[in-house]
Amino acid sequence: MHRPGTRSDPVTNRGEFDTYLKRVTSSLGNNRAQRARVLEEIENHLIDATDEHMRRGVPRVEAEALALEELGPPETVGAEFAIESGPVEKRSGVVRWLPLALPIGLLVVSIVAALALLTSLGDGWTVGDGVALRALLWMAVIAIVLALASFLAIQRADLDRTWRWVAWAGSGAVIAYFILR
Amino acid sequence: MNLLLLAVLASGPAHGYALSAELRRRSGEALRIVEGTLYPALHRLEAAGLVASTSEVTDGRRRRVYQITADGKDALEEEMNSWKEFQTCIDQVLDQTP
Repeated sequence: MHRPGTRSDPVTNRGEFDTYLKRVTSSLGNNRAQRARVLEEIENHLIDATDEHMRRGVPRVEAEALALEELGPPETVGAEFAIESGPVEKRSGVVRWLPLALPIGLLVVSIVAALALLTSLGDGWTVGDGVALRALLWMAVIAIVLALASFLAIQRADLDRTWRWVAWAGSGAVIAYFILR
Repeated sequence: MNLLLLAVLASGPAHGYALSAELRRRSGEALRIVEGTLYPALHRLEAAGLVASTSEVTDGRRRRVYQITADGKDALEEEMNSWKEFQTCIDQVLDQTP
């Protein structure tokens, strides 16, 4: 059972909502993803605004009309969507992914060294070869863990720059590994 | 508009309607923007890397939630400094008005 004046009530101005949305999206290009996103956001806004007015005691039909009015003329909104954003200075891809270089380098070195060791083995397989191979495989596992940690930290750093230090910690660990050895 | 949106998002992630409601609340209902233009502005901020968005389902509806990025925080600081400088200039002119 619906309480009067809640969001579970049907939209009475469905036709007006749809006309508004159609007029906004008519000025958009053929980008389906953008069109769907705009429709979703504007429709959610209309529903939220209607709910807000109704919570303040405005009858549904008037609340929906107010919500449409506050959004502004659909042509104005559509025209704003059509404005291209200007040139953007973004952190270049290379700089962004730089903390991955050393962990991936370590991974490549360990794999190449392990393959070289395996191909150089003749008939004999000494205990020393086994130890070396095991060490190289461990090195590869450590490199993969560090690379994954750096990858996740780089993504988090887009929102919080503190994570940039965590991303570089992987490179620090590689350097420390070689120094300690 | 960009400065205001980044300032509100600096307090935490929000979807479009919550952003416009918070703008109204912070301005004591004095600031009435054409609410439909909020979304194109958010899209441009996202294209510039100053905000990021995710799609979430709340109350049975799919919503796009925006949050400020590290670059957005830097841009906000710059914009706030520019705004304060501008405000100081205007104040100086007005203060000398007889």
